[in-house]
Formats: sequence, C-alpha cells, structure tokens
Amino acid sequence: MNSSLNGANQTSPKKKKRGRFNFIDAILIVLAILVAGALVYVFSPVSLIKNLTNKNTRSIQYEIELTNVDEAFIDKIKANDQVIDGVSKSVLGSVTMVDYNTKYSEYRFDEIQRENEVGETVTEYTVTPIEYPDKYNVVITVIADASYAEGAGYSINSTRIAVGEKLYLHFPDYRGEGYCVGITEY
Amino acid sequence: MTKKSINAEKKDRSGLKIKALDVVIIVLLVAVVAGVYFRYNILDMLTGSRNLKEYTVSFEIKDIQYKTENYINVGDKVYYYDSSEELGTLIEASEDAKNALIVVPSTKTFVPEGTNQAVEVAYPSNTRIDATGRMVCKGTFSDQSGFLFKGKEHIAPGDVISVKTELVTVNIIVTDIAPVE
Repeated sequence: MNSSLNGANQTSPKKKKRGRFNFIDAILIVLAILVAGALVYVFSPVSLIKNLTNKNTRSIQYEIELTNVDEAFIDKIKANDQVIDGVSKSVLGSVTMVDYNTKYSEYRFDEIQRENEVGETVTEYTVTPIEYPDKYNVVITVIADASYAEGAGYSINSTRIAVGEKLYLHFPDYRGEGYCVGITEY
Repeated sequence: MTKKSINAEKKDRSGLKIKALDVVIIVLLVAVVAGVYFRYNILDMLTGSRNLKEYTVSFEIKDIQYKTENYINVGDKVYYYDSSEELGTLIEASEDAKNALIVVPSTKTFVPEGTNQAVEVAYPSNTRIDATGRMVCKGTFSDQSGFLFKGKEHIAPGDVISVKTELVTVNIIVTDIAPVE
C-alpha cells in the first residue's frame, strides 16, 4: 500500500507542472479589457465612434453670401460647380443657384432737416445705402449630404455648416470667402 | 506517504494559492479604483464643482445678419465654440418675451460735421440687427470671485464669448448674471 501511495506521490520527471488559472488572472484579464475599452473610448474621436454605431447623414441646402465681389467675377460661379473648402480641401457640395442681383452697398450718413408737428425745425439722422456700381453681394445656394449630430448640428467632412460660420471657398473658376446665411434640410 | 504531505498536495492542487505577488496586485487594483474615485471627488470639492446652482446670463449680440434671428430658439443649447463644452440653455429673452432674442436694427455711429457729438443711426430694416437674449448656466457665485461657470471658469459682464448652437455661430457679449429665482 505504501509503495502504491509512494508511486502516486512521486512526480513524473516527464510531466511538467501546468500553470494554474486562478481568480487573480481572471481579474487581470477583465481589467485589461476594461482599460482597453476605456482607451478606445477616450482617445478615439467621438465622431468615429458615432460613425461606427450610427450614421446620421442628411441632405441639406445652405446659402453662403459673398460680399463686395467684383463685377468681373460674378459669372465665374455657376450652377453645378463643385464647392471646395479652402482650408480642409474637402468637397462641401455643389452649387444649385447663384444670385447676384444685389449690389454691394456702404452707408452714407445724412442729416435731414424737417419740421415737426409744432413747426419747429428738427434735425434727423439717417444712413443711406450707396450702391457700388461694379460690386455685388453674391448669394450661393449649395446642396450637400451632411453629417448631423444633435446639439452639434451639421458638418461636411469636419467642416461645420451653420449660420454665421465663415467659409473659405474654392470653385473651379473662382476663390472667395463668405458667411453662411441660411440652412435647411430637404 | 504522510498525512501532512497528502494535505500539502491537496492544497497545491486546489488553485487558490495566493502568493505575495497576488497580494501586491490586489493592493494596486484597489489603489487604482480608489484613486479614480478620489480624483473626481476631491477635485470636485477643491474646484467647487459641487453645489452648482443655476444662473441667468444675459447677453447681447452685435451687428449680425437679420435672418440669423430665425435660427435661434428657446431651448437651444449653447456651447463654447472652440471646446464644444455645453455652456447653457437659451430661455426667453425677457420675462415678457416669447422668443429667444429681442432684436433691434443695428446702429452705426457718426459724428456730424461741426459737432463733437457722436450720433447713433440705425441701419435700414432687413439688413443688420443687434439682439439681446438670456441663457441659463450652472455655476457658483461668491463676492470674491464672482460667477464661476461650473465652479471653475470666471465669466463676468463685458466678456465676449464665441459660442455656437446647433445651427448658429455667433459672438455674445455678457451683460448681466443673476441667480435663477
């Protein structure tokens, strides 16, 4: 009996001690997974994560006003022209309409003398728009597919499209800068 | 084989042997979890991020295109333009108003010839406008430091802040800060 026990008690020189998987190893694995997930969440762009999980693309139409455009250039921008962001060089859409019916104006200060109800002469001040004969305000309508995020609004290839945003634009035959003055979904 | 060696062998096979290194790892894990907890709680206490209250921040906007008014509404969230951190939420422009902005034609300042007096003259309608509005922000207030947005950033009347909502980008000038009653 002793010999059999002794036989059972002896470790075979050919058998290697197997690594035991204990609860500390399990904790470390779970922790490593959590850390990896946290790093991905923290350091990856939020837009990337949102793009992977939920693409929210919407078709928009927006207007950009370019002011004080010389008469020689107003017909350089045409419908169907592609619009390029001058900073990021990404496509911002295509032109559907160009409105250059408004002349560029600056304001002249005027004094006006007039009589009031009791016959007294009073001075009133006004501003009178003076149109430049060869300068125009050009409103360009652009359509594009934009990414939408609640709160953040619309963006096209990381260029934010919102009223009041200044945009630097390249067209095939013209380059200029202006402000977004309107935006709608269609 | 002795009883002692049999018991030792049983223990060796049980898989619950804790070594000194395991103890160190457990202590480190507890320290990491505790550190994350205290980092956010102590920092909150030090920076005053706790006990934030709501304040009404009044502002004005100067010389914007008249159509911009159509894109600013009550309930719109306002964010810092650069960091995109939420600053506040737009409310009615005044106690009696229904809209987010009260607009007036923008003005241009002139000095008539022969006078030393500056005169403000309004732009024609449907050109440029000025506007006033209000938003609710969370922060703390003290006589020493004034209003601290989220308990950390000082905002005071006169500040010009670049902000954005979902549809608009604009600069606002803070004119007043008062607690929400």
